[in-house]
Amino acid sequence: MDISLYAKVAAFLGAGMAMGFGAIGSGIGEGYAAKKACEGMGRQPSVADELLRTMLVGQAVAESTGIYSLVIALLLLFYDFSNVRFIQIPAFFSAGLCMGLGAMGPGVGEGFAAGKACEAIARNPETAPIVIRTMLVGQAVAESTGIYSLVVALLLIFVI
Amino acid sequence: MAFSGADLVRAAALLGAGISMGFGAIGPGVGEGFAAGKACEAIGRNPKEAGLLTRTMLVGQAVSESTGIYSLVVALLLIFVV
Repeated sequence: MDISLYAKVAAFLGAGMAMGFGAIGSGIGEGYAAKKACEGMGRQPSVADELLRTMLVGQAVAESTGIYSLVIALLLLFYDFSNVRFIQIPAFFSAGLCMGLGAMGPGVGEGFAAGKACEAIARNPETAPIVIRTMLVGQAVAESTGIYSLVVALLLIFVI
Repeated sequence: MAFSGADLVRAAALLGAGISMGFGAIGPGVGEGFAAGKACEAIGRNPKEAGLLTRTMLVGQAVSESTGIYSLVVALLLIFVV
């Protein structure tokens, strides 16, 4: 049994975990944003356009960690396994686990921020610019742990 | 496939790095997003306090971020030092 076989096993398991876990957070968060946007439109149909725009911007930010997971999964799937070393076997598995779990929190949190921004705009439409700014600042901070996970996953794949 | 005890220790350290950063990122991500959401809600209700609310949100998020940074430090230690 050569090392590249075990490396493939570890990398493919890691890719599955990265995308599988990584999809959970973004899915929940974006669904919450959509729910709050629908509630707001039901309450104030006149601001439906503003709510749709806010919802889509917020969801786009919440999607970002899901996209990081996809990138890590694709990197693991299409890695060149011709001359891997023993130590890369756990590194591939660990990279997938790191990015998958790390994407869950920011996805949920950013989606929550997007949902609450939609709620606030539906309640008080003239505050929309400042609410959207606050939402984006808050989401940028919440994104940071997702970026740490991406950095650690990339280190595990390419630096080890 | 031949490997020594030192290889096994290093393998465990790398797995630990992934677990550390992965689980460690969940909490701050959810918590900071929750803070951002409630700040948006409060600004929508009372726009005059927007400056105070944004400042409070950022201070709270900075505290919440600390455990994420601990996870990052531990992960980097496990990758590069152990």
